[in-house]
Order: sequence, then structure tokens, then C-alpha cells
Amino acid sequence: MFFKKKIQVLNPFEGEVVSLDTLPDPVFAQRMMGDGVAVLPVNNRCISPADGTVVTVFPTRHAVVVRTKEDIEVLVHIGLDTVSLKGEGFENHVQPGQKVKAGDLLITFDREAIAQKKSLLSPVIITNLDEKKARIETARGRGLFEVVI
Amino acid sequence: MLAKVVTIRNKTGLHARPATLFAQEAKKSESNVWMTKDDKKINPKSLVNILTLGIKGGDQVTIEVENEDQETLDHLAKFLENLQD
Repeated sequence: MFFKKKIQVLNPFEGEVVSLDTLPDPVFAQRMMGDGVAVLPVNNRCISPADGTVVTVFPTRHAVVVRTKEDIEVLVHIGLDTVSLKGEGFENHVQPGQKVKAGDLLITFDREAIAQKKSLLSPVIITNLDEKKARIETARGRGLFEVVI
Repeated sequence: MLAKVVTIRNKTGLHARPATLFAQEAKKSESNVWMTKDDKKINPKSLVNILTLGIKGGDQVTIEVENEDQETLDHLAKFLENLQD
């Protein structure tokens, strides 16, 4: 018998969810990085989408990876092409190696300043679905989506 | 084991997009591949492993390939040097 486990991934932002298909960057739209969705944030907070460990915060603080205890990697990327802002407008509140609970504050960002220069569409991607032979499904309740392993 | 030191030329370093492209390229190799920056050594067939190195433009990394696979080493070194922002 095959037992399937479902991991809830929360929305790390408050905001509308859109398909990766709509993003102009093929790395996201073509799922080269992995599968997921994008969110258009309506405030300046990025919280942890799951219980886990912070694996890395980008040097420019515009993206973060959290690994769950099931070894699922969730990459949260704030905005598109925001690497070119060189960290300006982003403040991180966690360090690599730190344990986090779903809902803990990871990064705050100056939403309005960033929106003047870049798209704020923020991909939330599971980067190791293939390796884990996992897939994502629409979530019930307040989840963003579920990872089925 | 063959090794080569590569300087990252694209200004923004190995952030999400270039790191994704490099991980895809590394995955195509049947040989084991390693990537080292400072004293941290990772398997670059995982995007997230690459991201943990926090590689910036101008940084030097060492690529190692097992099985005396010179072709893979040369290809991956060249791929890294030619990555765009």
C-alpha cells in the first residue's frame, strides 16, 4: 500500500495568487526551477510558508529557501528581476540554519519602492519535486497549495 | 578527480535564474560533480545547494568532476563563465 503524505504550504504573502504561466521569465513560467504559483503581495511582509529550517537567504535578501522536515524545499522569490536592486528595500529577519514555524516573519520589503522599479509578482516554488517524486495540488483551506509526497 | 577554478563573470552572481540553468546543466552529467567556494563544497545538481554558496559576481569557485571526465569539466566551466545576469 502506498501512503501519500500531504504538506501544506501557506501563502508567504497576503495577496492574490496567479499562475506561473503568466510570468514573463521562462525560468519560472516553464517550471525550470520547479512547480508552484506566484503571489502579488498587498503588504510588506514575507512569512514562512511552512515549519522548517531556513536553508539560505540570498545575499541581496530578495529570496529565501525553507526546507521542511520532510526535506521539501520551498523557494520564495520576492518580485521579478529584483536581484538588480542589490538588496535595497529588503530586510531579512532570519539567518541560514535557523528553525522557523509557518507564519514566522522571514523578510520585510518596501513594497511601494520596489513596485516603482520591478514587478512584485513573487513566485513560490518547490525546487526538488523531481528528486522527491512529489507533485503539487490545489490546497484546501488557507493553504497556498499542497505538496504530495 | 579533475578540477578547475572558475571566476564568475556575470555581475549579479549565481542567483535564482543562473543557478537554475547551471543546476540543469550539471544534472545532465552522469559523473558526480562538486562545486566549492571558500571551504564549502556542494553538489551543484541541486539548485538550492548552489544558492547556499551565495556566489556573487567576481567570486572564484572550484568545479570538480569524477571519472576523469574532462569533457564535462570543460563544458561546465565554460557554461559558468558565460552565464548572463
